[in-house]
Amino acid sequence: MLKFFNETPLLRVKNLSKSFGKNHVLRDISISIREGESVSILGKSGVGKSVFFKCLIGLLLPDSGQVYFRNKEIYDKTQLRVHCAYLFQEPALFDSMNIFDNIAFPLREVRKIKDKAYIRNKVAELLGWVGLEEAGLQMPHELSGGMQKRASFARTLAMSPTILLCDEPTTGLDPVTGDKIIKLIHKSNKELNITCITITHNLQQSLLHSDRIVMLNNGAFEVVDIPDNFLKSNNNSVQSFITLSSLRI
Amino acid sequence: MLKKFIITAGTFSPFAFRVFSSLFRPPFRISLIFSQFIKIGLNSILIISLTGATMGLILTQQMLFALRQFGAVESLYMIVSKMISTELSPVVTALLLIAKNGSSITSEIGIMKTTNQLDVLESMNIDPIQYLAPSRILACTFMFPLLCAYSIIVGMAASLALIPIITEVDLAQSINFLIQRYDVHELLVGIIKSFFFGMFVALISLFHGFNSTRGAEGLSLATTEGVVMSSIAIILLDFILGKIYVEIF
Repeated sequence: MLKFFNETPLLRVKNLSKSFGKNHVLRDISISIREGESVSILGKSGVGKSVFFKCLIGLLLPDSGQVYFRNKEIYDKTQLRVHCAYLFQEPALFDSMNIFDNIAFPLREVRKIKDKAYIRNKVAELLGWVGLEEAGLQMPHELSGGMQKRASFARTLAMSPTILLCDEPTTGLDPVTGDKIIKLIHKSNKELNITCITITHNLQQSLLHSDRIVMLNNGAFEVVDIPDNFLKSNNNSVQSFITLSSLRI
Repeated sequence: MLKKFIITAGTFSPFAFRVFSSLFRPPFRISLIFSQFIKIGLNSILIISLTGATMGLILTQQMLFALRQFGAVESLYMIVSKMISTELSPVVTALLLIAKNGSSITSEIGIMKTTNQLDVLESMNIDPIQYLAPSRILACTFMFPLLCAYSIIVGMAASLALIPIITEVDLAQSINFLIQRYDVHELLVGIIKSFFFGMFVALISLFHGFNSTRGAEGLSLATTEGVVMSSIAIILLDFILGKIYVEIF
């Protein structure tokens, strides 16, 4: 299905760089992401995909570069957190709270909602969304890895984000559960119009669910293109990724 | 060693400032404070009762041996009470609470750091220090003196119960001697000491939790260092506050 995007970028990153000592992880990377778009970031382990996310929302301080949200420069990166939700590689649920309270946490603490009935209904709706209707009273350690990931996903949705940053959401999951998570991300992109940026190693899922795919290599976005063109790219990193993903075209 | 001490001292001061300033910045999370009061205070009553009583009994027996040599057995209860309230109860209670609650604070925060729960808070624009520190600081600062007062009462009661059994001095004599020679500020000094002990134990434990390195080894090291540094701080503080007390009275 053809998607139409507003040409004004929702998020624009310009010349972002980050080094750890002499290790230049990100070198002047730039990208524009449109509202409602789903973008996948591919790349080998350790090339700086998670560092890019962390620099975006100020969990790490970039050495240089600008970030614009709706064409307005974000000077304090923590400002972008108001619009973003970050789905971490690990579920990172608060282990002292049950699943209900984990999901209600952003409603109470971030969105400052006091209405208990609203919170109850919203959490029930989100639990239904991720297929965990019965898990509200369970503690995180009582759930399987896949269920924890879905609960974590529900918690990020509770923030009502404009942008969803998903950091390897299927890591450590079996293919069936991983597929469920990817479908949930895709569903939130399509039905809730949340702009999704997903770090993944799964080329097949990226091709199916992304509007654009980005290849991060040697600290730079070497290829940024729609899935069809991405597959035809002559870039060495892309070709080796395709080969190793057993997807010879 | 010296370099590490200088680095730690350099990072501790701004951390302490952030923690104390967080006490006066809203939102004030009353439910979190209340749960820490229960965890640190009420849940420690049994262990404090046992050690308080044992302390009173041992001290009575030991002092009896010494006082018999000087023929001053009638002053036994007064001396034991003074020792318990000015020195032993505050220090022993603090050391026990370091083992029970200080280590728990460090490991809890350290685990939250290792499992990205602190990053989740930050990604939601919630300052982890502002969220986690005030409840623990307040609970330790106010529960340590209460538990110390309780320990003094238990220790004195145990001593009072033992004296008529092992000596010829009766209850009335012991109490009369105590009333004549015991000042209220001797009780207060122990409680005031405990107030500072609680504050420093919480601060040091939080510092080591927030600064733990990721992984099991880092967490174990942080917990050990937290306990050791808190214990040293208590001994030093006891000396300093004791000196101030002697100078004033």
